Amino acid sequence: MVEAKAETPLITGGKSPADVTHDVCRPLEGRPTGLWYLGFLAALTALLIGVVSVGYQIKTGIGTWGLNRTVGWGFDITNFVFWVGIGHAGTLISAVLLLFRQKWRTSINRSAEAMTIFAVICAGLYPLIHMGRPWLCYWVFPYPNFRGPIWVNFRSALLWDVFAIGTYFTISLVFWYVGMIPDLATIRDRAKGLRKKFFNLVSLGWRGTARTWSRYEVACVLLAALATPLVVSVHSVVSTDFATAVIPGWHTTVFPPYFVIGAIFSGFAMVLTLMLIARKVMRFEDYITMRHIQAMCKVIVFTGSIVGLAYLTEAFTAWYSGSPYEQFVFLNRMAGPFAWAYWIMVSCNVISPQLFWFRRVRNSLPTIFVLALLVNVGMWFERFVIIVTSLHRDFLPSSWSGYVPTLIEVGALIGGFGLFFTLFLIFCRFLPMIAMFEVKTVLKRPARTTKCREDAA
Amino acid sequence: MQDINGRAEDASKDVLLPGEAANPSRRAFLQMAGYGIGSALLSGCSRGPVQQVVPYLTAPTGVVPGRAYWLATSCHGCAAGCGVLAKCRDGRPVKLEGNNLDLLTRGGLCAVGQAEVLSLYDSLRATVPTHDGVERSWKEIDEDLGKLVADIRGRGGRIRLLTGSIHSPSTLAMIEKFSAAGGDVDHVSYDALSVSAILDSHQRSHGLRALPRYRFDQAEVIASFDADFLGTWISPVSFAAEYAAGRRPETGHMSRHHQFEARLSLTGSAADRRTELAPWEVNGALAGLCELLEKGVGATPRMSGRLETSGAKAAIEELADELLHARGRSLVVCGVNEVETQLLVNYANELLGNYGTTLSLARPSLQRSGDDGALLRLAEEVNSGTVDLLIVSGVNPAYDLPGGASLVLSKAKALAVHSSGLDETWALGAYGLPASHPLESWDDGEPVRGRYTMTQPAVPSLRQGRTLRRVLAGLMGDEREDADLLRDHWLNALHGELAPGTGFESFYDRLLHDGYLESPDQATAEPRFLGDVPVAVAETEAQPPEGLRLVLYPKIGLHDGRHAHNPWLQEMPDPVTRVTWDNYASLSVSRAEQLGVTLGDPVRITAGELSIELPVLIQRGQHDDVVAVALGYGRIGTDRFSDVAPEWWEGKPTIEKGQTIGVNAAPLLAFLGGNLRSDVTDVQVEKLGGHVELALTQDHHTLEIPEHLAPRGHEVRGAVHTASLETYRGHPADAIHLPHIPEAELWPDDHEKKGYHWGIAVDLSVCNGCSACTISCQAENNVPVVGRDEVLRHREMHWLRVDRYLAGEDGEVTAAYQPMFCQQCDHAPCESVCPVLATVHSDEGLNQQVYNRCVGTRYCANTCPYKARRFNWFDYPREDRLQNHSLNPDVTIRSRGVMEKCTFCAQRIQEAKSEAVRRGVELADGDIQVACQQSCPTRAIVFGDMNDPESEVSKLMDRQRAYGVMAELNVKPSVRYLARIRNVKNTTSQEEHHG
Repeated sequence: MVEAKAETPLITGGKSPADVTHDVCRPLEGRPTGLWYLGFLAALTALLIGVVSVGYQIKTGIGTWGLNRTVGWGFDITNFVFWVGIGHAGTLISAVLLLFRQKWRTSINRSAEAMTIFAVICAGLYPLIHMGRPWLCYWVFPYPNFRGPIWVNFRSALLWDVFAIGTYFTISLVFWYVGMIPDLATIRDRAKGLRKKFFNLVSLGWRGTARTWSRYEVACVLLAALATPLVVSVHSVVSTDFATAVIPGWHTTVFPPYFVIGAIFSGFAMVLTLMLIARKVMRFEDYITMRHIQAMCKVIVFTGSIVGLAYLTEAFTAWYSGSPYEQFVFLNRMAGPFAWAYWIMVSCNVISPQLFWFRRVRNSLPTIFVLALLVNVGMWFERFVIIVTSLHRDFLPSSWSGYVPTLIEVGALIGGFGLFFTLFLIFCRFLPMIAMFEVKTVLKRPARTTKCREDAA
Repeated sequence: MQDINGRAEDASKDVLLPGEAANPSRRAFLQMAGYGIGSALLSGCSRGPVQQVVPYLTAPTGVVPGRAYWLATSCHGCAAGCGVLAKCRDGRPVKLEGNNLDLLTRGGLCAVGQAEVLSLYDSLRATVPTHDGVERSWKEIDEDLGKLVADIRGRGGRIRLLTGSIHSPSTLAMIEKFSAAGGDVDHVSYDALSVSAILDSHQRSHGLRALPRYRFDQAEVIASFDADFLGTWISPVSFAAEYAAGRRPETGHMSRHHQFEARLSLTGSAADRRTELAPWEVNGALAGLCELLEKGVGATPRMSGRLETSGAKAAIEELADELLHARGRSLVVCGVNEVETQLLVNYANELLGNYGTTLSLARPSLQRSGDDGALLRLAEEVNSGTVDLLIVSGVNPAYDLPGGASLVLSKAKALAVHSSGLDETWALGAYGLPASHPLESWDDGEPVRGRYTMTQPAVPSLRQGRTLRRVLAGLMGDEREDADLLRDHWLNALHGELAPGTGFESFYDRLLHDGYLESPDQATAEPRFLGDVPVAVAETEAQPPEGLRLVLYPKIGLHDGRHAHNPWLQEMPDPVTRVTWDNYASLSVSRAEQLGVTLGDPVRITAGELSIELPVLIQRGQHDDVVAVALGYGRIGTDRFSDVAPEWWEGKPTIEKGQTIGVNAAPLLAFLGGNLRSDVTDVQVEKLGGHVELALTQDHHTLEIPEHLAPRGHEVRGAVHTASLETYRGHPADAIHLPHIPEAELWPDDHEKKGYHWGIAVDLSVCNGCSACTISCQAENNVPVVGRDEVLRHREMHWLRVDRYLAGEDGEVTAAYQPMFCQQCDHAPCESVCPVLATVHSDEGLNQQVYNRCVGTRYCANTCPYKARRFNWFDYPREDRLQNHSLNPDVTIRSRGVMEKCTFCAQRIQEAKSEAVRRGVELADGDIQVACQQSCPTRAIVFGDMNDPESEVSKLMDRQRAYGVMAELNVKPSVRYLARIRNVKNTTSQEEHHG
């Protein structure tokens, strides 16, 4: 991981603790900017498109999607895996980097965790709405019932998903919330009236005594330790949706690590995308500095290379296995009807991130933004390639078919982004986006800051 | 109020359908309740139709509500007259099956026969007789029309009766009686799919206008010139059964089958050697064959110089050689409706001594009796304005003849049409006489001389239809009921002849019970060959000067178009092309390239003044100079299917209102030399703009993987294995090469299957792809029709599909067919993935789908290697709710969002087991007949207990050519396919790419 270098400060602009509090609380206390309103409107529109599409689909039937007898999953599970993957960076940043004492994470961990939670919410919706009878979705939970009782199938990877996602969501939510308590107390201290009462309630009577802080630190490390295995386990479990099935292109043992690294890769790209927007919109340039951005770029080029290796491994295994079905799937991915999707995936995930080796690229914000977006696109296509190209031509040539998504399905995709950004913008507006108390720990000493200022003057 | 009244009126008129009154408001409820109480009071005062309302006050013997009973009857889907058993539940037929006692069909039934049960409940069938568009009672019709008939008779006018082929002795006797009752009355029959030339040629060659009874089981070498005898020709079910009897490599002989044809037919794809032969080359080829046969048998050489002009010299020489080695054990058949051609066929069969062995005129087939010559004479009479009354029954000349109505109908002074009311001719008739559906009728039949079938009603008449016999009787003032007419005929005319000296009651009861009767063999000698040989047969038709030759052919489902109103048959994929809901212009690969057209490009086919526009389908194995178009499409009223597809935003109706499904190609039929010909029209084909999507159920047509995607050494998928007879007999172990199948298991079997272990064996050697199983399964398991748009989206629901894989080089293209359905894997990939345990394994080896537990994740369908699972993407209700009556009460209707698939007919297994328990006996092998197996004309599908080493299925699975499809995945399928054995020699050119 990236070492914090002594000479470059993590927070620029010579902020004092009071400045930090002021800067972070400002968006919550004042009126939102026009840019925020614009973003919120766009996000709400997207969400509305999604609600209408999904509502229509639930009312009419899954037939309103472009699926068929051969391709039973398309955009739905692609979106699901995509969003679960997005979530991973948040946990990695907040838990793993905490355990590794990576100080640079402090500016971004709060929003990364929020991103995790919203991404998991989005992810969880897709398996729900992709059901033929979503009103019976509670049947996937092992709850006591009077029908026998009928239990769930513990051998099904979809059921493991239920547990994995459920656990992930719960722990992330608790970790995020607990991590926010001191900051909520700060807001409480600055607020008046109803706002004060509300924040008083949610900050659970935080007093900031040494004893509280001591307990708090322990709780955070414990939660981080709990969350850490989830970084590996959740996407491993999601990958078993495919790996445990018999379909060539799915039935692959490399999938768990491949999925995990892909998740971190896509998660970091998403964090980077969001942070680039947020620092601009919320004027957090001093908190999310080039150093943070550079660090994330390096993580992306590192994980992107591993993803490339995973693609090679997968193809090699197919060739080495001698299974004609496996070999065909890869040839079909590369040169079949969905070759365009495959090559989008390879270019966006393996080739374009390699540009991050160049310092010049890492210093150009617009380039970073575009490359991060490309990674997001590429990772979405990775799941699309895995799901659709494996399914559409499997064993019996008689059943080979194609797949063309309907507008309703595209609506569900847009709706996912709408939901995510709506939640994220609400979060930006009402909760501290940057962990104030943590950032304060990485500030330079005020004396030296003053001196610097004088020097500058 | 309007609504309530309207509904109430409907209800009083028609059958009240379940679910018709939906969600009334409170007001409406009160209104309805008031109406209900009022009508209940009123009806309490009247004398209701007692026998329909009181449920079995005195129950008929053996009838238990909720339990099925079977009636022997017969199929009228075509003129073949196969014996069927109608399964009835609570007074209504729900399923038809072949009658095992029918020695012609041996218990098989084709797709059309299976679908007849649906057409019974067609709510658009004509209800009441009409005169000039006004509804009348039969009594009035009997009087009015009877008076007209009597008048015409009185003044010596002409009455003509135009029907299809009729082989019912009682109906023919009634027609005879009607004709003999004075005046100039004549009966003319024709077949839209005419084989008149075969009968006419025998008139010339044997002095007897008869259709021989072909015995494909007796033939060791079969040569077919354009006769699709396994698909649509004359009597496909019995032909397929007999053909298959001679195609089992382990038992008996294995026939050798040559097919010469211009388009790839079902029969052609089964052939051991298939040669593309244009229609204009048939005579030359047959003459050449006759020449070789003359030489071979040492007969007076009368044919000469024909072979050199034949386009299939090598194939004909090989055929002649083989035929000569199988004299008296060979058969030459031809589907060309030309007398000269058929005379050559007769001559060839005569030279080979086949008359009396593989084809017989002594006990001829009566399945076709249509006479093209008589039809043309009738047309002349009608058009000269001298026919006073034309009664058309059971045929649709306004649709299926070239010239349509103007040929035989428009100039008749009075026209009475006796039909279901769904046809083009009906609208033209002054008198509309609704015909009863065969499942609500009394009838008899004599498909082959001396072999009788009986038809009895399985349900009281749903409409006021009558049979032709009853109509004619009515016109003669005979008031007897149809049942009595039939019974009296048997009592007076046939009983004495068939069972002299026995009591009639027991004889007739037995007859109705069995549904089939075979008269003792009379030692009738075969008529002698008269020596009429068309020596001077020229190449009557030259190659088309420019453009292409149009070949019109019937499809298995729609026949001559009479089944166009049956949604099951419309949605049944054509076995060869896999297209549903449409006809199209088939072109060969190189011809399509030359015209610059691809699949779905519309073309205009022009012949003189006439032209039709159709989308293109590219068909391998078709002659380059031929364009093939299916008959039977473009039927009036087929826009009724506009509602079939689910309605949603992007959904498209199966057909726009006011249009028809497909295009009628019958106007392009032609009369040539006095015969109705389907292969003599020369046409120009030109490309049009635009694009039409054809609803195919299969996109990839071979087992070969596209070249640029194929891993080296694995260019062909091994789903269908084919071996030569030589290899199989000589080295059976080498017949098929299977990948390694793992034997060792890491875990103990969690289902021990100690009792039964159900399995199915499918013999690909005898499966000819006819798709009867598909429709039988659809009828048995309440499989919905989804419509054209859904098929286009690859969402057809058939639980059992027949995969078709083309193989072979150009010029020798054949096809292999593989019925594919749930393989009930012992290691089912679908079972482990379902999160809610909606698909679970039974300890009899069945993979059970629990519909009401299914939440619809579709994970199971994704992981199914056979893609045998079907998902309810929408609610798929029936377009015609009356047809809900044909639903099998033993099988759940699946709702939207639920997965479904083949269950091995779990309901039949359960029923048979319960029955065995009830009787206190062991379940015997063969007690359970699953629907596909039961229907299969060739007995290619066998179901049974794999735990019983003596069961038929176990024995089949022990054969060396048995294999499980993709068994190397270790999913342990419970279905074994028996490799397709072709009677070919092991030369390199015959090597096939079937894995």
